[in-house]
Amino acid sequence: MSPNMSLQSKPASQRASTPWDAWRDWVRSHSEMLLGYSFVAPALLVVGAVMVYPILFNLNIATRKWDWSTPFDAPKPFVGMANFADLIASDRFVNSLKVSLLLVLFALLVEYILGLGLALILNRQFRGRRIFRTIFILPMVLAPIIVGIQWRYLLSGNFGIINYVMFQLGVDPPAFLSDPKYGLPILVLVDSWMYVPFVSLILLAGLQQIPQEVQEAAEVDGAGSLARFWNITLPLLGSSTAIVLLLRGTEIFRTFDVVYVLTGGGPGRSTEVLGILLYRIAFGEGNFGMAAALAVIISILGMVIGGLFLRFIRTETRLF
Amino acid sequence: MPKKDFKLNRREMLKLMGAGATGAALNSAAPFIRPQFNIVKSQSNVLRILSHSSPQTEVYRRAGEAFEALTGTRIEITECPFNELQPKMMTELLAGTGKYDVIPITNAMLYAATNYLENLEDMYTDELMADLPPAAVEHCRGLEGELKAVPTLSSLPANFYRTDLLEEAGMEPPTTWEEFVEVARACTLDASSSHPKIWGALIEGSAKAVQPAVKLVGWFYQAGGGIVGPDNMPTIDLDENVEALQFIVDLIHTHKVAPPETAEMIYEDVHNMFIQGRGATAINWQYMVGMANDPEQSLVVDKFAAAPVPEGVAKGVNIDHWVMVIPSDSANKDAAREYINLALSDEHQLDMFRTEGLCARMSVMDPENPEVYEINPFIGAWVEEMKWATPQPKWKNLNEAWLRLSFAMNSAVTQSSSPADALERAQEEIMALMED
Repeated sequence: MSPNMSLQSKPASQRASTPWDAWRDWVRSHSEMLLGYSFVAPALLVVGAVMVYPILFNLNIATRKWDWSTPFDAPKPFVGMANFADLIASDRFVNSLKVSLLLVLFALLVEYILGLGLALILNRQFRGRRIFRTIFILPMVLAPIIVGIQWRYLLSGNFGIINYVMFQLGVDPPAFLSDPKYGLPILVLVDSWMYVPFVSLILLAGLQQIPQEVQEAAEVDGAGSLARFWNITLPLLGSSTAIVLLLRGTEIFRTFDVVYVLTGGGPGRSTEVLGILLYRIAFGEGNFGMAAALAVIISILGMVIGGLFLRFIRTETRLF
Repeated sequence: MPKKDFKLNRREMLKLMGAGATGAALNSAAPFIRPQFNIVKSQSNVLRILSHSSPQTEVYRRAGEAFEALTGTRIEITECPFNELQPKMMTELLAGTGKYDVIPITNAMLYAATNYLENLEDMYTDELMADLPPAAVEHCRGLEGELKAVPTLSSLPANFYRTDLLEEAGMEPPTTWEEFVEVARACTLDASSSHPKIWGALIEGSAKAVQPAVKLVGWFYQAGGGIVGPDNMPTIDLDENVEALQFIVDLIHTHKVAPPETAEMIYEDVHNMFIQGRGATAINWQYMVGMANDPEQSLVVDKFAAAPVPEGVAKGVNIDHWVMVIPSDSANKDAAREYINLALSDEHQLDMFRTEGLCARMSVMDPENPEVYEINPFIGAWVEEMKWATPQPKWKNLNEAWLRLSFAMNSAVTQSSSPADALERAQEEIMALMED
């Protein structure tokens, strides 16, 4: 019998009467729990230092007026929710929110459709499949900044190879990076170019989990390939779809680097996503209070989007 | 022994919530709990400079080598892209890291940083004061008028033009807006098998950088407008300014003498296109002289010249300056002063002139000096412009104001909004910036 068990089984009348004894008893009776907490304490401390403190600090700053004229260690006046109110009332915020949401919508749609198509192709046996698979995941391993620069040079009106080829083919090349109507489509194009391989790899893993017998049984029952895709493949890809939606949805919503390098938010404000707006408020205007408020809003909206996707996942797949 | 369930009971939950509340309380006291930064106090034998990546920085590096030879103090230069210079500088100054001893910045970046900079009044001898253009001295004054910087380089845009193309078209270099349009029309050539399309006018219109706005303001002055009223408040949406912006929009969309890609162009695109022979005229800074005369990178060597920017109803150009500042938290202020003095010497100002096409001290840029003439044969254009160049306003957040103006210009040239609407919006935004 362990000492713990003997302590736990002590009758109430015999329990220690002084506070110290009571404390010792409590520690002994909870020793397993305390041991557990002591194991996770270092990790919690690290998380607290690198995650929780900045979040709390950001919340604090969001309620204060702080700009470049105020040194870091000087008192910053408390302004309550004024930063949030000013931000939400501004046209720039509304525009950026719209751009970010449209980007999430269209980029997800394009990436899912193309990713699924590629996954279906890769799920078949064909000559050179391995080489093809290696080549097509290359965009995924490039840093977003490099991708942004690369596409900026490809699409440049004056020096871009795409415009040059179109010109040589006798087509009047559009000003891709100068015309606001191309702003969002270009972001969708570049984001898709980068992440379709990622999406297709996840969906490919999902496809390979679908039991072949189910497909064969449906085929024996006379189901055509479209019917099998619609009624078997797609529903059974639910969990993979869920992961794609959740990961890519939240990632696209908080995108910054590619946009910063490729368009800088322009032409006009056609690609000024929330991340770009935050950067400009913080490091262009030096308005850290408002930038912190925007960071809070982006986090909340990100959680809402993630939550909506999770809800969709629960409904569609009963996974969680 | 049965495994214990690790569910938290109400009491434990309360304890955790208490811990959370304590954390929140500590956070609300964050302004009083000052995080300790890794303060880098410069060693006496190292002087640290923060600069943007450009040929100008190489001038500072060469001055640094000379400084080390003279004093034994080594110079360490940290480079960053131009667009990151102000955020990086302000972040360092705000946090009081004391990491940098000298920072070359544009005058537009000076005003946001004024409170964190050393007063450099003592560096201005009578001789230096007399040798600097008045605008340069004005640009070194902080918001309260105190001298917080020392200029190293004046920058003004001029009108570069292709002498061969103008000669072929039988045109003279344009001096007015009307002539500018005529020349640009006559020299805009469609692409053929022998050459790519040549545009009559190369100008900037990108929203991503401050430079298009700095040049746009010159067009405002030429139209009889301006950007600052007597009370130092912005006057961005004046009718004359709208007219100037409309003129630029017309160059692209009506006269079709400037490329539609103007909306994505900054000064680098202008110089690239000009030295590749794809522009008959180009409004750009003086540094382009050396670049266009370099046979290794230019197709227009000896085929171009530069003249003052054309005038509308008035002459006008927006001058700006590169200036050197010393952060108040620098531990090497004396050495920093010595270094700046050295950078202002004849030798290093001439190096600046050779590298950038201009410098700050007028005596070094004497057009009568054969060496100066050899480096920049068109120096007369800039000396002429300096007579009527307008200094920039002293706005706390001038750099961001330029960005808002670049954005307005971009909106107009992409026809996202009319020039009047774009400038009206810029006026509102810049007013709001000043109120912050």
